[in-house]
Amino acid sequence: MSVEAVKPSRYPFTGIYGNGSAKTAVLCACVNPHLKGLLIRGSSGTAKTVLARSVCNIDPGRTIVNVPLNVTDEQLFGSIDLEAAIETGAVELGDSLLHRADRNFLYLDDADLFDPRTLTALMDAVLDGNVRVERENISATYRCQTTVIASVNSSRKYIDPHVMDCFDLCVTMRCPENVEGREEIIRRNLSFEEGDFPEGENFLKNDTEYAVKVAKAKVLLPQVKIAQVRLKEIARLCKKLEVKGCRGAIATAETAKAIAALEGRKAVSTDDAVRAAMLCLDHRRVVKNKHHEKKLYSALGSGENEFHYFINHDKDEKAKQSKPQLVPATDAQVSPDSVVPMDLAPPGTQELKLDDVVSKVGQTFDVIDLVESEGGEFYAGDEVAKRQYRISKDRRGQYIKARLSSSKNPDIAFDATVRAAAPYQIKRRTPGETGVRLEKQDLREKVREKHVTSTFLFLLDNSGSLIIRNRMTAVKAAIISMLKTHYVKRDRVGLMTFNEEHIDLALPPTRAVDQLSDIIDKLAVGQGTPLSEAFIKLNDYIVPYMLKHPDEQIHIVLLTDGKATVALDSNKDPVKEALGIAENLNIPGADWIVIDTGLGFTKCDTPKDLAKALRGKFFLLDDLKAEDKAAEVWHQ
Amino acid sequence: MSDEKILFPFTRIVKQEKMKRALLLNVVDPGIGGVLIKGEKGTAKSTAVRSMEQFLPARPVVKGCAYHCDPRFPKRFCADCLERIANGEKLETVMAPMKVVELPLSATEDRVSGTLDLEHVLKTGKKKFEPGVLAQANGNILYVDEINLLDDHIVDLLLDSAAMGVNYVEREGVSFSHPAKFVLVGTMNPEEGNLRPQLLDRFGLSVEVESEDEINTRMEVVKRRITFDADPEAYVADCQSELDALTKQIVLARELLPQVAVDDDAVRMAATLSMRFNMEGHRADITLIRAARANAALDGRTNITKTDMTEIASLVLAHRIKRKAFEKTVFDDAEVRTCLSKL
Repeated sequence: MSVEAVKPSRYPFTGIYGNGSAKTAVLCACVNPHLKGLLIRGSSGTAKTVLARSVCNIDPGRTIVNVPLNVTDEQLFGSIDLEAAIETGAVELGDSLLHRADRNFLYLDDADLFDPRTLTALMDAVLDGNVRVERENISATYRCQTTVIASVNSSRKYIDPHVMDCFDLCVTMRCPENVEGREEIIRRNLSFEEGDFPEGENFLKNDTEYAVKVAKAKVLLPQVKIAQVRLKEIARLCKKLEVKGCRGAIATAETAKAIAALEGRKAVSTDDAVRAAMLCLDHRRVVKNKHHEKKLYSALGSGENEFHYFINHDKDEKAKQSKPQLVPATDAQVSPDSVVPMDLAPPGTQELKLDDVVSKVGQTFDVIDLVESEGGEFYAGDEVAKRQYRISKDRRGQYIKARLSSSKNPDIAFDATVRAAAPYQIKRRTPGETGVRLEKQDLREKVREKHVTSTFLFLLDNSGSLIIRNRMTAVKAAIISMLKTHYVKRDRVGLMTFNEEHIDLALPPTRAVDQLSDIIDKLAVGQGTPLSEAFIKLNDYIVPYMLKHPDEQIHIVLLTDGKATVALDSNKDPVKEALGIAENLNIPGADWIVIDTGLGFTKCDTPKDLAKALRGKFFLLDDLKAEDKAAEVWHQ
Repeated sequence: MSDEKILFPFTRIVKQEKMKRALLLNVVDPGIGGVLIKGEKGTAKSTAVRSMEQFLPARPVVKGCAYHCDPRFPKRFCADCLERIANGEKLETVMAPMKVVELPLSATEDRVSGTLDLEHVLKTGKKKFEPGVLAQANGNILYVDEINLLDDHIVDLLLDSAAMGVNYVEREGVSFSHPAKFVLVGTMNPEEGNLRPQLLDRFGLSVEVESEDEINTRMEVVKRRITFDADPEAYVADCQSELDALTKQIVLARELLPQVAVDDDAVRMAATLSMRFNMEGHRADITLIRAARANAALDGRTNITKTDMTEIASLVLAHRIKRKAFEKTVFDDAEVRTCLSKL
């Protein structure tokens, strides 16, 4: 059974509209083998995959090996060669994705969706250049010299910073901002898919031209020198941008060398360093939460097309005279393939002062921040939190690995079982017998993992006191704010309200999160606060719920001013009784968060005491208006 | 899928024109990228999708191929077909009807993507790939009911194949890939929560169905259903000519499709709409063109008109509009018309 590598997309590299910096990054990754990872970010449908798959056109000697999302470790890193083991009893390392990726490219689509452990292990192996396999009787090491190209959808706001840091280069794909650009893309796409692609020939010719350029640059690269001064500039830059660790600096230096080599130079210029920094440091720098004044998009300018620069180097002499700045684009300046918003202005004069370098990069990043902050709002469906996984106990979920079977009725991992039995077949087999003999000790069972859903149950005190003081708006704002900062599509939200007349499950936990704000709008007001009874009712509801939904992490958010007025036992003080119940309430696995909705002089300490009794976190309502504070609620 | 159960015929579904149109467009041009049908229970969502088999036209496939390779596109052949050719075998072509392959919610990963053929390994000691649902789906319609309830890791699988048109299997000791180009059709009840944005974007079209409020329409629905239930076979036989006509229309539209001219006006309309509705990326633009083209072909024309664009705009754009969390947006058809009238 053999597999072919991914058939490279026929779509030409140079046919991708705009996105010069992304294309530059791809070229650099092809040229310099020390650049081990390229991350392509962008919203959906911005040609991330197309760009990645066109890489073979400009580096024809290599193929792309695709890593599917649900890859298992033994396929990725290697495991026992099953057929050989059964046949001859030899314990040898079989084929693996990383083995196939040696001297080739490794492609990960939607890299953020990979199991974080797999991704970390993969990147570690790639950065190291050696893969060590220690599993199932195999102990082996093999070389893997590869370049990882990964794409990530920008609707995922959370990516593990450690994984991010493993990528040397990171670029963002963008759409043109004008109708003409969009039209051109549609035209190219349609004619490409129809197969009749008149410009295609031209693009393919350009691709060949770049392939030659890449090949030449590869030869030149070992001779490219980077001066001490440049290294110092890069180091200063990294410090200024608060880049942690030194991978960023190394990547910048290597990228700068690749850029110089692509241009046929043996010395790295300041400009190379600046341009490399744009590709290598964006994802590593510490972004300050600055509130920029709003500016119009168009004023940001499209800058220069770096990618174009390689071809038009000589023609650009004039442009080089101009001062480095972010120039507003006029339509005349922009050729169809040079729409690269937010890129550096035309490379400036050769000798920039260090401070200029720093401010030049700083300025460009500022512009990026400004644009990004436009999109800084959370959109429906954005995922801002880390996904959580948990070992599943009910045979559902993703099969991640196999272990020795311990149960009587195991969820058999057939592949692992057969692998375990393979080396012993020679011994077990009687002469002339075919087939595989399994024995009890071979049995392996599947370990499955499931995505943990978070369920937020809001327990809201909607007694009169809350409404009278006009606190409902604030309460609603706080709830929405909390949800926004932990907005993951698969999360469930529920609402239970309580006052003297009713204790209502206004919204049973549901994934239709958006319903919540409507329901809060329509909430009826009641008198009195039966806090104790609310606790009991909640307990009665949530315990069976948790049994039915073992894969959910429950967060109970109690919003109250603490002024309990009704006790279960009329002889008791309502507040004291509620505190007592809170102390004894035991809902295993649920997190408590108490939010004090009290205001001014009416504030009392009860909510704080409740938080203590419930072993939960405590917040003041007014603190939650700021989104960064609201985010804190969820921090472990 | 099941032979024994007779389904309520597509052509007799009362109203729901948009849903029916969206499904037909995809049959004419599978490149549109599927449909997501949102709606409450009992709005004939599943019935419409499942009963499509009654009129889906036949298409050429390689005889004996587990992945129904299309003999017209040798570049997309699966490994088996390539091997057969390499062995000097001449591949035979047979006509097979397009099918609706259903993916049950409880499906496990190995059944979806395919897995190691256990029996083969145990008998011969050699590895062999056992195809799964995605293999069956190649060239067909893959239908997922309640798609919003599908487990995340299964969704990831679908995303991968939908994006590449190839199912790459690298697990459980198998390393294999085969073509998996299918029309993804999903139905869901929005009350149960929405889809993940990545999956949402993979759907070429989306349509929201509502139950009929009008008394007469409701009566008509009930009447037809009762007649059907009394004698399903007779009912289907009764509308066989309608179904045949539909098949004919589709076959004709498919032939017409390559002749529909995509001129500058059409491209301009698509780009303008995408800009106006702030579309991310370029999938919307391209889908607008494809859907408009299929719409024209279905009506027997070879030119794309503004009306085509207006008819399909909401199908393409509505689910792609970026909306802020906890904000409601309603797609406004009037805005499409205003936007297009300016051109």
